[in-house]
Amino acid sequence: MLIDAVLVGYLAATLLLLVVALSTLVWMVDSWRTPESVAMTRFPEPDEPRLSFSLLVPARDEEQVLPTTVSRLLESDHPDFEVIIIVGHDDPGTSAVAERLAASEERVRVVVDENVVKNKPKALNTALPLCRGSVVGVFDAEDEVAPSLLRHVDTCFRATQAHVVQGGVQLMNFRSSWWSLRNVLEYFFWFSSRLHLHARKRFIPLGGNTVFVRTDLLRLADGWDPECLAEDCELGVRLSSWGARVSVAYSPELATREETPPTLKGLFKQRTRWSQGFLQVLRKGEWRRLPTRRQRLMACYLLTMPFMQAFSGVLVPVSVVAMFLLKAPDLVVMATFLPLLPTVATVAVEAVGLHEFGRAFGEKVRLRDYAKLILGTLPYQLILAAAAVRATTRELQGVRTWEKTAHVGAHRPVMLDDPQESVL
Amino acid sequence: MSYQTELPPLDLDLDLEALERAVAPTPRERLERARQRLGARFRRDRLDLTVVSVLLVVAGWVHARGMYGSPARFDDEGTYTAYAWAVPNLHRLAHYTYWYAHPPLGQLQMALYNEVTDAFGRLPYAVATGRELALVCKLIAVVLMFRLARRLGFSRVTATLAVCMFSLSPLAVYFQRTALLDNLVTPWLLAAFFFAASPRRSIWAAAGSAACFAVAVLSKETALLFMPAVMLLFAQRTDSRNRKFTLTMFVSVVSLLGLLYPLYALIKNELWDGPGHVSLEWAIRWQLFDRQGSGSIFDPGSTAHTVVTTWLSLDRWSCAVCLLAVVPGLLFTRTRAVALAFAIQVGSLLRSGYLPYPFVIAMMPFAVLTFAGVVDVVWRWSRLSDRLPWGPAQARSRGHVTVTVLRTFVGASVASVVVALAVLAAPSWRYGLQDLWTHDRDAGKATALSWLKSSTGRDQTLVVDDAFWVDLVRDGHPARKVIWFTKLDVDKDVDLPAKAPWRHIDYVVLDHQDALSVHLNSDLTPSPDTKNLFPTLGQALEHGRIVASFGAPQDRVMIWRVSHTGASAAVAAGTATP
Repeated sequence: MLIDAVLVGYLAATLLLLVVALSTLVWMVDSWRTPESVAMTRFPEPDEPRLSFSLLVPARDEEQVLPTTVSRLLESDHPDFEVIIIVGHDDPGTSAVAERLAASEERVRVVVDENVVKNKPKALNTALPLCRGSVVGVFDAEDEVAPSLLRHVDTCFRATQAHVVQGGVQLMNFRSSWWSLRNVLEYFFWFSSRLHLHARKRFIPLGGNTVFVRTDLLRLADGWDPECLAEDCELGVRLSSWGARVSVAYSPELATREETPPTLKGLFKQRTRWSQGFLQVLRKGEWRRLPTRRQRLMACYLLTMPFMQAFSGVLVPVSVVAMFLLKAPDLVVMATFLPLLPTVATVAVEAVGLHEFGRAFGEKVRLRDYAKLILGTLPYQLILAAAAVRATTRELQGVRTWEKTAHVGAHRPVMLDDPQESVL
Repeated sequence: MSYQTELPPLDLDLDLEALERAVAPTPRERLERARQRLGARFRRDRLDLTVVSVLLVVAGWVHARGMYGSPARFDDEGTYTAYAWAVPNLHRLAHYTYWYAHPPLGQLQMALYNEVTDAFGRLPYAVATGRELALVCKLIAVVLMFRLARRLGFSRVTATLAVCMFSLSPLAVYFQRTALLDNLVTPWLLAAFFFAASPRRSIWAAAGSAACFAVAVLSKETALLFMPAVMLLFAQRTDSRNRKFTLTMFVSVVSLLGLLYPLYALIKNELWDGPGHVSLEWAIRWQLFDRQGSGSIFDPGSTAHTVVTTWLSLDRWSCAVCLLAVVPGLLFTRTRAVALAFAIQVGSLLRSGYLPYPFVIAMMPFAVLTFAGVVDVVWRWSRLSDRLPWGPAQARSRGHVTVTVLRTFVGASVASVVVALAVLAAPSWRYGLQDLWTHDRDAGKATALSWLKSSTGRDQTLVVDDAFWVDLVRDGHPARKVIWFTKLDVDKDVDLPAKAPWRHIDYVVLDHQDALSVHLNSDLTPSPDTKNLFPTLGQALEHGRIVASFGAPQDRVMIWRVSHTGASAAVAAGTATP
């Protein structure tokens, strides 16, 4: 009797894993589902620029990378934009750099965030009332932005009648370590496939940067949620629930280039923050207002995804080993392997994605990179799983502090010293 | 391209009630939309739909009329039926030890069908369950074949030609009626080709094609021979924009699903050969290398020759034209994939390996598609239909004279080949179909079964042809007392004492084909080969006498009563022949 109950529970868990693994695979390849759909993920060809932009760059302890980022932004070929750097009142180093940049260029302004407890959404909200452009764009202090991006976004807004345009973001330093390779691929599939699907289904968690929102809408929405650890996702969910049209466009040459966190610990903390942020968005419940049941289901599923992935990441290998050791009935053992099938197919698709990434960004992908990709699957899953568990405990304990990711500039081609070398 | 020059006024507000009213179509609206989509689809494809419906009715009627009476049930059909019966009733994959003769998905599908439709309870005899499922498979195959032909660019007429040959040739009908795994495989294979030819070239079509192909292979491993042809068709249709991903999906799905079979063996600890258990390794080795071949099809004394002669006797003209179409079929891009599928099968015929009697089942769909495809390509090239009086006027006056003459000649030749085929084949088809519809070849087997049910006791041990196994067990004979004759001396599941097991056998039931396969002499006494290869059966027959035999010579069933007292009994008088 007890054994039966255990078996039934076990099979139910296996079924859940199968669903998670299948949906991961299906959503991952969504952009390549037909030859025509591949072309649809691109930005439309730009026409004469018409809109004006306010580009927000929150910066905290970023004096090292900020000047390059801002000067790249200023190289943009769009005629009408301003850059607003947001610094903390307790961060004199970054403030000094920002003031220097503002002094030398009239399109740059500096806003000081006076909040006692600081985080990214509060910084963004501080700058929102001062924005002069009709569209607000968000960039991180280490971002490397393509000069022609704004013109494309300008066209995209008018061509698609969108309220929000989400551009591509791509981590670049896939050679830094085994996990950075996987991290890079996650971004590749997220921005080139997953987000397009979510935009089509009209439920989308937005990205943290290269995201553009109509200023009037953003003001109507009272900006970002200052208490949320995943303010980008929260804004996306809130705007989706109001029926906002989001256009996602990904052209590799226009993608904003970024770096992975410098250490595995950094990645772990970042992932904890995201997972906890998703959990907060789930608890906040804005997604319940989504108009169709299918959207609500998708929202609920997506927001709990880190936890399901955590669960599957741990359970798949454990169950395979356990089944061989415990001598369960043959059919149960067979069932255990079912979630493994889409998982293996996912790894195969990831390998193709790595090749595609190399082609799109002109990076040479070597055989050992593919080996790292395959061998890294399980440990990476375990790290994500651990982060999800940590996020849950933090949320339950009410610890909601912002663990900021450090930036060293590993995504930029020329580096004097490369601290990534010491990582794992 | 010109877009709006400024952002339109913000059309969102936070009046949530208004928002809820605006979106989310009601169920009625959704239903209406679905109805409209379906209606549009129906209007677009109504000619195809009409043709397919007519073909379905005709093919179904030709197939079903007399399908339980001809051909007579035989041992192989009984074996798969018994496998399928064992799944729900014994919770095993076979009524004896499952030894990886075929992957298990075939009997699982049959078992599912039998359970869902209560087939054993409804139908006249056990093997009829497989016959009925074969009819279902046939109807699905007809639809898929027509759609596949259309996707390959065949005209409606040539697609119909292919389906007609597939469903009206007596050779096809005879074999498609049998309760064999091959008939189960056909729709899966056609579906794999159908999805591979999907005009959308989507990643899901690739996955669908791969999954259908994997199911085909997991139902009967011989489907693996079609792999190059499916891959060719798939490769012909891919698009450079998403090829990497569709190809990856195809290969992943086929290989991962295919690997479930060795995985099953691994879990059972039966993947590799070892003492005291069956194994997948041994089964594959035996099938590929150790199994006795059937000889060359050109050697008049060989089994293979007999098998091929049987096929030809049912429909020689269709065989001939399809074979003639192989080479041109491989040359034309449009027909290359199906021609390759057919060519591989023809090639393995010439290989002189083991040639199963129903091998032709898997060949037929691709043979007729090759032929009809070649006709289609050549006919279109000839543009003869354009120059017919009702064709477009401008086409008639155009073109160089020589080319026109050549085209006319070729077109006329193709047309006359098809007409000649119809004329030549019609009498033999009519005769063959008439025979399949009206001649009850199974009558002998049916009488034999009744005789066994009424004349043998439940405590007696019967050694039987598998065609009777499930019927006898369902009639109340204990499963361990009804023994499939090929399992004597081989399978540990056979419950007979080790010492002189033949003394515990009461009856032996074999048909004409079984008698040949256990090498009985022409007077039905065991030959030295019988005694060597099948010792227990040989001894039982040596001590038995035929007490009854039923049916026409080709399908005759003989029943031996084994005497336990000693003296060898020759074929005795008193044979009951109805």
